Amino acid sequence: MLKVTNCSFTANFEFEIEGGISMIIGPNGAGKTTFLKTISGRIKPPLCKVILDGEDISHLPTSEIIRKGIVLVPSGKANFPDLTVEENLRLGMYVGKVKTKKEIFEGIYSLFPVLKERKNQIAGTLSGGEQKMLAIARGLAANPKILLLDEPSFGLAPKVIESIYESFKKIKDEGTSIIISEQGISVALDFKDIIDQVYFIINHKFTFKGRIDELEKIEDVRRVYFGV
Amino acid sequence: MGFRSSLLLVFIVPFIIFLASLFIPPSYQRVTILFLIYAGLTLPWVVLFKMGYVSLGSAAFYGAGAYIFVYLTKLLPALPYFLAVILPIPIIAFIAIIVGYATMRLRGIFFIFATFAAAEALRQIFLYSEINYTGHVGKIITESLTTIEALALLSIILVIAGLFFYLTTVPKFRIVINCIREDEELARVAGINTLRYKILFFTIASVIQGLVGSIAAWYLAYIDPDLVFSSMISIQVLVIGLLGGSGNILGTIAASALLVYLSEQLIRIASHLYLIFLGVSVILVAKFMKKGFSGFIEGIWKILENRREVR
Repeated sequence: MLKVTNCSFTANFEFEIEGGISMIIGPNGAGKTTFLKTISGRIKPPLCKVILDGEDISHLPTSEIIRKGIVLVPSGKANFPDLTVEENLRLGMYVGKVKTKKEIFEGIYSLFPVLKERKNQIAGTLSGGEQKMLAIARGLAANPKILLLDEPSFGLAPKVIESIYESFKKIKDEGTSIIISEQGISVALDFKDIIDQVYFIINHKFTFKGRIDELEKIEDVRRVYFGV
Repeated sequence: MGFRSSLLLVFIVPFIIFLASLFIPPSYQRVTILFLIYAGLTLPWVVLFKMGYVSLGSAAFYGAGAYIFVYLTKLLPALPYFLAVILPIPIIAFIAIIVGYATMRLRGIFFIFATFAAAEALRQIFLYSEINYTGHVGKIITESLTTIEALALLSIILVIAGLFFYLTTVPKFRIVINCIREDEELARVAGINTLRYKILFFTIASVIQGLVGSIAAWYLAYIDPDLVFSSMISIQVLVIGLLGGSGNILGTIAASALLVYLSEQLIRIASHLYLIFLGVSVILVAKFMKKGFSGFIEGIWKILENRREVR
């Protein structure tokens, strides 16, 4: 489905995703955000090829890549604080064409009921967790094939993280693939059954692909996360 | 219908100004023309301001409009003058797309300098061409507009500028403009081709300013590069825009009327006295009307509305 080749991240490594929920784990400065930005076209490393469903999309601008179905939700409170919740969602629909607006709104509100209660509220006044949900919902509003989430658990309470990860399962069931980047390994271990495959990145290079259980055996992972 | 998004206002206000100006003494009619020129220049400026872009290059397109109009009438004497007003539109749009493509990637102080430089560059180009190709600096137009015609044409331009302003309050464009101002990176990630929108708005704004320039040249009957590309025009537009605020068209129109009438009155006493008034008024507005005149007018409107509801 999605394949990235020919760039420094994927030297001696095949980055290919066939749907489901994938997680990219790596320590601070490993290149997770850079990699996600490369896929979404915000950064264009020379020669790097991003291939979606057999089509090379690496030369397209971000606005076109989103139309092809890859949407990035940046880390932090990635909303427009002056606009209302509904306006933020409308902004996400900016490029979505396949479904009607009503269907998209219904889907989002059933996924995050709290956003329906607060649809006319200014986004800047939402709590941190609600803002994160709004950011994810805004990504979903574009009706993507692949949703890229940059550190969705950053700065949130464990309970909120849990509810957000629960929603990922539903998103996956609707047919959208998800790529999550996370700094800590604990989130990956907490939600083992949700995540289909894990990638480990360090020093701008992928070194591992596989199941979470195998992850703990990798030497780099042990050194970085467990100090042994 | 909300006050902010009132399409009716866009048509009624210029019409009232035009009607009212028919019944005032000729000297005041000429001041009204000056005020309409500034209102027409400032409304497009406010749209750029709403996007987070402070332009100091209003004179560039005002002057370009004036000069292209005059050159057309000189080169093609058979051409009706009103066609000479319309023909510069594509030329100005072309210049604006090039200038916009180069400058709209910039932000903050760099954009201010770039637009200022664009205005100066155009002034020098026209000055050079006047000196070297036409032999004399300054151009005279033989058949100028009458005062009433100028008032009518500038009122129409004010309607066009008001419509452009109204366009930016339509939900779709309002959200896009808000996003460009607040967080452009996020807007791009959300799939908005921000550069395209910025150039689009910049081009429309420039074309309207150019139209104002063409009609001003037609009415004033004399132009030279130092007059129409004067940096004082750009600065005056900036001050009117800041005084007026970006909430609605009334604020800009009121600010422009106040500033032009007062400067004309004060000029009689001493030629640069109005600059002192300008400084004081900017301070007062910044202190007491944080959202400019438009915010003030909206506040009064809300109070009136509440009273009506109580009754």
